[in-house]
Amino acid sequence: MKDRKPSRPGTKRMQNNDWNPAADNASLGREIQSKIGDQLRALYDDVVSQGVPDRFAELLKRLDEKGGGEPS
Amino acid sequence: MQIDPSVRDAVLASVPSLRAFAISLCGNVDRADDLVQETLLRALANINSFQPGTNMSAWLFTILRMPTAAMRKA
Repeated sequence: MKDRKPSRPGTKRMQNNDWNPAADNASLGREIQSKIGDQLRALYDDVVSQGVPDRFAELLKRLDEKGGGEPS
Repeated sequence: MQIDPSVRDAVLASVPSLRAFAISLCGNVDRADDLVQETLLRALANINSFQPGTNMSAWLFTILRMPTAAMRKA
């Protein structure tokens, strides 16, 4: 009677390299990524929606009046 | 030399995204705005090298990323 035991527990798991805990740890979860993405987008939208600050509009106006900045 | 109105408008239109880009690089709004200001001064001093009809924002982004030393040589 050949009572072969099924393969030892553990063997199968060792051979299964699809699951890689190290890689999982190295990347952020989808939820976190999407939260970071949302916050970056919100920051960008906020800055872009501020339009052109007076500082820069005045700078360009001054340069225009002066005749275009440094002589070349 | 006066700034061509169409050039000035294109520059102004690019300022908001230029600021957002600078903030992403500096992580600090005040430093970012200084960087934008320097970029605008550089850009207008070298406005002759801008090819009309090409993408003004892209040109300004390139100048913003250019190191100061390289810019002085140009």
